[in-house]
Amino acid sequence: MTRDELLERLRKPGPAGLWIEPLLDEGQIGEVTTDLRLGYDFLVSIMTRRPYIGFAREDRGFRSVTSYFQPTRRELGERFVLYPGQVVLSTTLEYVALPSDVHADLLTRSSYTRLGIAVNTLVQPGYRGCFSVELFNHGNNPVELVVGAKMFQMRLTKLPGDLPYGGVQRKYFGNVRPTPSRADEDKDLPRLLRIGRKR
Amino acid sequence: MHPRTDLELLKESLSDLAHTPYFNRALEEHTQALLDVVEHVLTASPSYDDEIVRQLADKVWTTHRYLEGSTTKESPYEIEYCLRFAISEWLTRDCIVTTALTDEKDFHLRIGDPWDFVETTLDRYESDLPQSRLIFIGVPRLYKSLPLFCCALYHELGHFVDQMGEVTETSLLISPIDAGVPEQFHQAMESFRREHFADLFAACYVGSAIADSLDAVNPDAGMTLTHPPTQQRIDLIRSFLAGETFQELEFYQDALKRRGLPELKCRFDIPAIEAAFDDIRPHVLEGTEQLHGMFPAGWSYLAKSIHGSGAAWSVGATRLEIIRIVNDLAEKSIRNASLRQLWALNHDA
Amino acid sequence: MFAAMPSDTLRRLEYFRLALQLVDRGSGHVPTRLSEHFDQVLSQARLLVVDPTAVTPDVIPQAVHLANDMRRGSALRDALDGIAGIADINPVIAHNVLCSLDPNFASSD
Repeated sequence: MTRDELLERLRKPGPAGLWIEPLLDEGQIGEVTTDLRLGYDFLVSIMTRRPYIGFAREDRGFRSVTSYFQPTRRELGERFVLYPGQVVLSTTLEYVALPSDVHADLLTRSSYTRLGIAVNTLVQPGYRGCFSVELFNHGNNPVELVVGAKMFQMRLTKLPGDLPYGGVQRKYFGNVRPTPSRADEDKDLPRLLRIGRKR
Repeated sequence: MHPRTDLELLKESLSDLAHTPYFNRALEEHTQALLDVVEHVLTASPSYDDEIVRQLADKVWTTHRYLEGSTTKESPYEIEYCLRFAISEWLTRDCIVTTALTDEKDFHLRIGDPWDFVETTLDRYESDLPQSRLIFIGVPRLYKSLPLFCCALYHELGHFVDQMGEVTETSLLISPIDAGVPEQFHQAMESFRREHFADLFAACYVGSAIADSLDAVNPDAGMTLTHPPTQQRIDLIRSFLAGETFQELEFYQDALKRRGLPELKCRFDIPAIEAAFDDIRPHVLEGTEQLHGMFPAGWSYLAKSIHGSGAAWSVGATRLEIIRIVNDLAEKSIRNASLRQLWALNHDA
Repeated sequence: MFAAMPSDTLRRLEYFRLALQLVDRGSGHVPTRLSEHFDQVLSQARLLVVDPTAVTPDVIPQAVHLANDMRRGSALRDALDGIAGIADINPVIAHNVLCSLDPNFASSD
C-alpha cells in the first residue's frame, strides 16, 4: 500500500478502515512503510530449575509457559536493556486495527538490525491489537532500548479480497501487552504426543 | 521487635533500594531523605524518646513497604495517571503517586511519607525534606490489568481527602447525629457518614461505576458497624448523580465550603466508546473529564456485553474473556491518552 | 474493598496523643513543634466546642476532630478542664486525657 492509500484508509470506520493509536507523529507514515514504536510492557525470559520448556501438559513437572517469563513495565522514555542471547517479548506502542483486506509485515528498522536485533512478523488481515514482537539480541553487547523509540517498520499489503480475522477464538486477540507463547494449547499436541508414545 | 532494631534493618534495606535502577529521581530523593532521617535518629545524642522512635519506625516500615513495591515495575500506571488528576484538584502540594500490588483484596490510598512526623517531632533534624508528598496506592495484584475494577480507588481517595480536611468531622460538628438516635449507634452513624462521603466523592469522578462496583462486590451486604447497607449506598449515589438534593449532601457541601475545599459535583464526561470498542480498538479520549468518564462508560459497555447485547466479537466469548478484553481496551485508551499528553508536553525546543 | 481503616482513625489525633504520651511516660521533653501543635489544636478545639460554626479553612483539621470528641464525651472535657496547653499537663492529667480520648474501634469485618 502506498502512503496515499494508507492515509485514505486511516481512521475510516468499517472493515476497510486502518487505525494506528496513538499515532504520535504523522511523519511516521512513510511512502512505503510506517514506523512503529517500542511499547512499554515486557516479558523477560528467566532461567528456572526446569531443563527445558515443555508442552506436554500431562508430564509431571509441566509448568505453564508463563512461569518462564517475568513481566516488567516502563513509562514512555524509560529504558530497557536487552542482553545478548536474551528473549524478551514486547509489543509495539501503537494499537493497530488492520483492514480485513490488508496484512502487515513488521520488521525492525535497519538501525536496530545493525545492532543485532531483528524482528520479522506477519500479521493477519483484520488483526486488532498491539503487534507482538519477540526481541532477541544476536549481538555481543547489551543494547539499551528506549520505550517509544521508532524501532520497527510496518509494511502493508493489500489482498485481492477480504479475509475474516475471527474473534476471541484467535490465540492473540485484542492484545495490549505481550503474552507468552500458547504453543502448549495447540489442539494437535495431544494426538501427536500419543503417536510419539506409541513408537 | 525493638524499634531501634527495626530502624537498623530498615536502614540496610533502604540502602539497597537506594541503588536500584528502577526508581525515578523523585523516589530516589525520598529514599535518600528517609535514610538520612533514620541515620539521624539512630545516632542522635541524647537519643529521642522511645515512643517517638517507635512511631517513626512504624512509618518508615510503611514507606519502605511501598518503595519496595515500586521496584517491581508492574505498576498499573494507567490507574495512577487517572488518580493524579483527581488528587491535584484537592491537594495543593506536589504529590508523587506510587502503587504497590498487594495480595489482599482491598484497595487503599494514603500518605506514604513520614515528613509531617519528622518536622513535628524530630526537633534536632535540620536537613531539608522533600517538598513533594508521597502518596501510596495499594491495588490487589489480581486486578493490576483490570482498571475498571479499580474505581474503588476513587472511594479511597475520598476517605483520604476527608481525613486530610476533616470534612465529615466538620459536618458532624455543624450537624451532629440526631439526638434522638440511641447513643450506642452514634459511632456507626458517624462511620456511615464517612462512607457516604467517600462514595459521593468517587461518584464525582467515575459516576455510576462506583455504584456498579458496589453492586458487583456484594449487592446484598447489610449494615455493619462501619458500613451502611449496599443498597442504601447505591441509592445515595444515584440520587446524587440524578442531581437531587438531600440532607446529607448539604452537610458535605457546607463542610467542604467551610474547609475551603471544592464542592462535590460531577467531574466526568462519558466518552462514546461503543464504536471503537465494538471494533475492538481503544477509544481516543479527549480531556481529563473523559478520562474519568472511561470508568462508567466501561462498566456500561461491560454489562451490555456480558448480558448478551454486545458487539459481534463478544458472541461466544466467555465472561472472563469479555471482562479481559473490555478492561484491556479501557487500559489502552487511558494509556494512549497519557502517551499523547507526555508527547505533547515534551516537544522539541 | 471499600473498607474503613481503623488504624487511620486512630492516627487522626496522633500528634495530640503523642504529646500526651510523652508526658504520661515521664519524658522530660516534648519537642517544640509538637508542643505548639498540641496547644493550637486544644485552643482551636475549645473555640469550636463553643461555636461550631467558627470552622474556617485556617482551622487545623485535628482541632475539628478534638472538638467533636470533646462535645461527645464529658470525661474528655473534664480531663482537659483548666488546661491551656501542654505546659499545664502533668503525667496524671496526661494519663486521664489519654484514657478519655475515644479510640473509635472499628468492627472486625
